This record gives sequence, structure tokens and C-alpha cells, in this order.
Amino acid sequence: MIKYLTRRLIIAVITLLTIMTLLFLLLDFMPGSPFNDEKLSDSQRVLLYEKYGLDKPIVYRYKQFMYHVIFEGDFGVSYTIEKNANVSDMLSKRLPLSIRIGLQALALGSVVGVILASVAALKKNSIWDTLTTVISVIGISIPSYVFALGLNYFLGYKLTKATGISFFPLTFDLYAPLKSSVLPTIALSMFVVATVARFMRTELVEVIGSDYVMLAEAKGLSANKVIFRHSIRNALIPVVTVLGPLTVSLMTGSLVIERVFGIPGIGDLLVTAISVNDFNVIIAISFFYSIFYIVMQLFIDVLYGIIDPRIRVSKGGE
Amino acid sequence: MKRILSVLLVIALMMGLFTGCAKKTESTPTVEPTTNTKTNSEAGSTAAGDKMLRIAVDVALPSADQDVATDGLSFDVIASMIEGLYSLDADGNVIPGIATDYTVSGDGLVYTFNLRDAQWSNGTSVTANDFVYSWRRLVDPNVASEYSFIAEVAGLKNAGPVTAGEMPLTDLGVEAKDDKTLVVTLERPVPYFLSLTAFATFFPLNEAFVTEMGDGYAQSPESLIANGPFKMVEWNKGYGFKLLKNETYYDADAVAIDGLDYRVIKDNQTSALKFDSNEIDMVKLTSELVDNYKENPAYTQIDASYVWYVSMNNDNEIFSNVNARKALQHAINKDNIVKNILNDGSTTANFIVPTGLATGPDGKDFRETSKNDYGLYDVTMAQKYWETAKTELGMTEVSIEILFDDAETVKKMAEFIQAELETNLPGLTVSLKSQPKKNRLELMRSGDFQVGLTRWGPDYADPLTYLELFLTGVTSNTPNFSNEKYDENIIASSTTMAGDAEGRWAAMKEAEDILLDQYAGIAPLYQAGYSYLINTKVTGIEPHAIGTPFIYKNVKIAD
Repeated sequence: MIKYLTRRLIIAVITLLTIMTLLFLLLDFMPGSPFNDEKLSDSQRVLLYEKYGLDKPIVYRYKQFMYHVIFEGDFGVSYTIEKNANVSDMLSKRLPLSIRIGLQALALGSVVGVILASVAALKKNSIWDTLTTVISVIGISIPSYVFALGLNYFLGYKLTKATGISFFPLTFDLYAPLKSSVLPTIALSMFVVATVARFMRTELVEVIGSDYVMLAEAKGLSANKVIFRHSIRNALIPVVTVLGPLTVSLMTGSLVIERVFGIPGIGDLLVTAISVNDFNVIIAISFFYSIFYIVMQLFIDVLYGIIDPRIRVSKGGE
Repeated sequence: MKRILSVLLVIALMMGLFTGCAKKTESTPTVEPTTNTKTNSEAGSTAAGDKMLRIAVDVALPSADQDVATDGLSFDVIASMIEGLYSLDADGNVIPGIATDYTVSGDGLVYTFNLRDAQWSNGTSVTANDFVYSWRRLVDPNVASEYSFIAEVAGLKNAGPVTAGEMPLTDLGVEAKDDKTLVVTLERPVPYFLSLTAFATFFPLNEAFVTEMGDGYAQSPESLIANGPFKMVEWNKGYGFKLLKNETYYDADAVAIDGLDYRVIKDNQTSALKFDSNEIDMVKLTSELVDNYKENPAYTQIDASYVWYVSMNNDNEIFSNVNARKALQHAINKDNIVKNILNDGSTTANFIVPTGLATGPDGKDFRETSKNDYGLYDVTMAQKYWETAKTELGMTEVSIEILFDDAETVKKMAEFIQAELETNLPGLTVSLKSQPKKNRLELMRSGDFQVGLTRWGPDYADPLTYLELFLTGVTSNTPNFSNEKYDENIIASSTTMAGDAEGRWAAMKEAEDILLDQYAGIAPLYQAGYSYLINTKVTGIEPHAIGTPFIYKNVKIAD
């Protein structure tokens, strides 16, 4: 196990370095510059390039950048979004918010999804099954923007107007993070609910109809044991596979949810940074995105072994 | 045993997911408020009797440093914190600020300002040296301020060579005679010089404080000091920021509100809902929402001086032809753009120098006494020019591409113009190219475009702020328009004719005529206006078309 983890860790570091290098090069080749305003004169632009060291050869800049990132955790400063602000500082405030709301949505979404799927699979072809399918289809097909705005309008605005009490604030509030993150969490979790419910139901139906579950039933095991120990656990594998990448995208923030609920997260920041060529911000966010992804892959691989010992055995035998 | 253990592990992991969240949600805010401030003015929960003006904005504050800022919001915030030599009243007239009065030499080149007793919020006095330091910082090549050009616009002696690093900072035409006397030397008389001193880049800066803060200056409330009506007390990057009344401001008695509370909300639907819920007092509306609120008493239209125009690349094979340019000028129904696409208070522009920008020696607005029918929508005329153009070019089928920003409204506008041109100009095929704004500007500046949609905002209250744009060889002259007579008139109005108010006015009118009529260098589209929702209890917000978009010093909030 330790040998395996070490190997994965080395691969992870190489992957990260490759991503950073590619990104650095690609951004350099991209047309446009962070310094391009109607008012900016050519001579002043030259001065700005000098000030930020962008006039130096790419190899030199690359070395400097990597040195600062690796040894000082310093991604440089923002050129346009929050001018001269340290990018690491910008992220240290925003990243926890995105992760927090992402994890809340993941937790809510997977629990509701698993429950829905279980009910649907156990009561196959009943009204519950249909309902789950309907919820899945809605969750997948309605754009999160519509969903977020709908929630905001009915629960945030209308309900408050009708009752005079603000149960769900319209926007995220730093001073009441729990209460004010309810609506964004629900809005973000819709997709998770739908995805989990859909995958899990299909898998569960298959598992319940399989020989070993029938055998377990024939042995006279209690319904609970059959469902929890033999069915759900076996049906979790494909769900975990889907949840991995989904978790990464949830934790790295959602552009739509952040815009609608006024959350200063990194989802919106990345999109803004790309549109205004704020290079350092783009690289820094991509860096964290990559780390999340790599760690999540590793976590899932380990989780496979735990959920299904057969996977671990076959890996050990490689 | 092994199985039980693994099941337990799965449960533990699942639980970890929840407990992890539970712990997080119970903890203090992940983004710590930067400073403790009055608890009764917390974001979104302003208590009754607490007179904070709550403003929703759609971008994070880009900068609070006057030599780094380039956008309206930053200038608003800086002007709320710092006051310059002069300020502007609600009508845009120059009124005394830190300077009580001034004298000017007979040749209009040397201004001597007398400063009042005023204090920074850290207790130090505002002195003439604060201005000297700040103005030198503006042109310092190491600071590389994007707005350094304004020092040349103001006519400050040696501004050009100092900005270029060819002369030491000390050669700039500004010096402190003593703590309370500032002497400014200009290269030429500048009729609008005083109004420029009300602009953020000319505000004073406390040298000792700015030097002490170093690179961290203006990055947090702690690294900012104020001599104006408000001071920053809280800045949660990307989320919002708060300014409270500055008790050390010399005119603090005139400030009737407790402060300004900004919240960043990027979605306009949400901010409008927040306005409806009385959680904010002021928000700008996007075009789509205007119709919903037009009848609302809170609906307010604010005139701006931005002018949008079609930049036709005069070096291009097709648009080097003056008749092709004229055809395009007349083929677009601009009223339709203003009414149906923008719908936000913008008005059709048949000119380049906007309405309400500058008052002439006759006391009348530049537009009132100038021609106002450049590039009128006229399909017959457009087609006449177009046929001539096609004959001269020897083409029957022409394809062009329109370059524009990837913003929603601009995209709609581009699609409309595409339809107009293809319908009204036979044989013309128009394709669209959308780019992020910075890339669009890059392409236009390098001349790599045929037709581009672009805009310009004024820097000072004089027609030159627009007309200088189209001087031969100027970076911002994207159509690459070049005309000898035009250049002559424009250069004269800021040099040899600077003291001759009537003469330069006439010269500038003639230049506008050359640009728009005789040579049809560009096709103006509209003068921007903005739609706002402003709480009816709030009065005294002063919008300005030039420089600082909003001045909040005189705001009052009724009970």
C-alpha cells in the first residue's frame, strides 16, 4: 500500500508540474494582454510590462514563477481583477468558501440521491420509481441558473415578503454563513441528486436481481442485511466513479451559483480571470483544480478497494 | 472481522463528509472580516436608524490606489475617501476642496493654491507636499500608472519627459512653497485645469504613510488613510467593503449619513430582488430588467458621456474608400439600437463629442451650437454611396467582418448591425467575430480588423477629450484616421489657440465636421445612459459624466 501511494504521489507531482508548465506556455501564446484599456498608451504599456517583469524572456519568467510557487507558495499578483493584490491571498479567502459550499452540496446531494435510488430500486415500477426518474430528469435538464433564480425568487424573496421573516437570505452573508448557504447548497446539490439517483438506481436494480443477492435472500438473511451489506455496497462503485470528478467541480465553485447568490468563490473568479487575461489568477486556480483532481482520483482508487475488496486483491496481484 | 472493519470504514468516510461540513458550518466565517466595525451595520442587516447607503455593484473593487485605478467604481471609492484641491458640485461646477482659493499668473501658466487646515485620518496634516508627492508618483515610471497621460492633459510642465523617464521626478511642474502653499507650473494655458484637480489621480497622498505601507498600500482598510468624507473600515475582497464617515474630515458636519456599504452581486436579477426586499438602496439595471422597473418611482436614468461608435479600419481595402464608410454610416438604424436593444436611457449619437460634456465661451453646450446630424439613418443615401463605392472598388460582392466584445448587449447590437447592413447594402455579407474586450482592443490597435464596435469615455470637460483620439498616429486611433487639417486644428486648440476660447471652439467644430462628414472616419452609434434603482428615501447622490461617476458626500437618507 505504501509503495503504491508513493508511486502515485510521484506521478501526481509530475502531473502537476506538467500542467503548470503547459498552462504557463499556453497563456503566453494566447493573444491579448492583461494591460489593454482604451486609455492605455503604448509607452505606458511598455512600462507596465517592465514593472511586472513581463518583458523578460519566457524561460526566465517561467523559472522565476516556478521558483516562487514551489518555494514560497507565491503566485504573484493580480493584474486586473484586484490590481496588485497577492493572488495567494485572494485565493486563501475564496477557496474555503467554494470548498465549503461544494461539500455541503455533495453531502446533501449524495444522501438524498442514495435514498431516492434505494426507494426506487426496491419499489421498482411503482409511483416512487417514476418520481425518482422525474426528479433525475428535472435535475439534469434544468440549467442551474434557472433553478438558483427560482429558489431565490420563491424561497428568498416571496416567502420573506409573505411571512415577514427572512428564512433564506437572498445572498450569501459572511456573518451568517450557515443560514445564508442553504439556498446555494440546495441549488448546487440538484445536479448531484439527479446524477447519484440515476446511476445508483440502475446499478441497484441490477444488483438486486443478481444471483448472490438471491442467494443471500434464500439463506434467510434479513432484508436490512441484504440491502445494506450486499446490495447498496455493490451498487456504490459506479456512483463513486461519477462522484469523484463531480466533487472536484463542486469544490472549485460554480460560476452560476456564485453569481446568483453573491458568493465570493473561485468559480466566478476563474471565468473573470480568463476573460480579462489575469494570468497569475488563472494559473493559481488551475493549480488548485489539478491538485483536487489528483487527490480525488487517489482517494477514489483507495475507496474502491475498501468498498469492494476484490479490486484491492486484483491490484495486489498485479 | 475484515468485512465489518471495511463496512465501518465506509460509514466513517461517509460520516466524515457530514461531520466535516458540520464542523465547518459551525465555525466562524471562513473569510474573516478585516476589521471590527460597528456591529449594527453588518452587511445586509442594517439596523433601523443606521444611515448607511447600501450599494450593490457587479464587480469586485479593482483598486483603491489612485495611481492604479482605471475604472468608475474605484474612482468613486477613492473620491469618497480623499479630497483634492478642488471638488465638483452637483452641477459639475468646480468648488473649493482642500484648496481654499488660488491665484493664476497673467499668462495662465502658474497657479498658486492656498490650502486649508485639514487632516488625514491618521492624525497628520494635509500639506502641499502631499500633492507634490502624489503628482510625482502619478508620472513615476516605476509606478507605471495607466492614467499618467492625464498629467500631460493637464499641461503640467515636463509631464511628458518625466513620464518617459527622461527627466527626474523633481522636474515636474509642481512644488510646495510651504506647508500650505502649492505652486503648479503649466506648459500651456489649460482652460479645464481646475476641474482636473477634482479627479482622483490629482488627489494628495501622505508620503510617509504610503512609503511605510510599500507594496501593501491600498490593499486593505489598514493600509489606507482618508482626508475626505469617508474612510474605509472593512474590505472583504470579492464580497464587499464598507466606508464610514470620517470624523477627521474638515467638513464632517456636512456629511449626513453614517457611511457607504458596498456589496458585490454579479447577477442583476438577484440585486434587483435585494432592492425589492429593501436590502440595498442603489443598483444599476441591465437592459433586460429596465422594462420591469420603468414605472417604479425608484427608477432613475443617469446620463453618461460614453460614446459608442463603429470604428472602420481606414487602412482596409474596403474601408479605405470614403463612400463605403459613408454608406455604413447611413445604413444603421441607431434609434432601434437605443430603443430596443439598450433600452436603458442611452440616446442616439449623430456626433462624437457628446451632449453635456463641455460648455463653450458662449455659455452653451458644445452640441447646442454644432451640427447634430452626422451619419443620420437614411437607406436611400446609404445605397447611393454603396453603389458608388462598389464601382470604385470594382466589386459586386463584398464580405466584411465585425469585431466586438463578448458581452451580451454588445453581441445583440452586433447582430442587429449585421442584419441592417446586409439588408440595406446589396451585395454585402457580414460575419461576426466576438472576443474578450482586452483581445478585441489588442486586435483593433494592431489594425487587425475591418469593422469594430468600440467606445470612448471622457477624461476632462473639453471636446478635445474625444477629438484628440483621432489624431494621426495616436494609439487609441483605431480606425487609423488621418487628416492634415484635422490634426492642425486639434493641435492648435491645445497649444497656440489654448488662450483663444472662441477660436479653438470653432476649430474643434470644424474638426468634428472633417471627421464625421467630409471623411466619415467613424460611424457614431449612441451616447450611453444608465438606468438605476435608487431608494426614494435617498437624496443627494451626485452623478458626474466625467471623472468620478458618483459623489456621495451630500447624500441624505430620510427616516
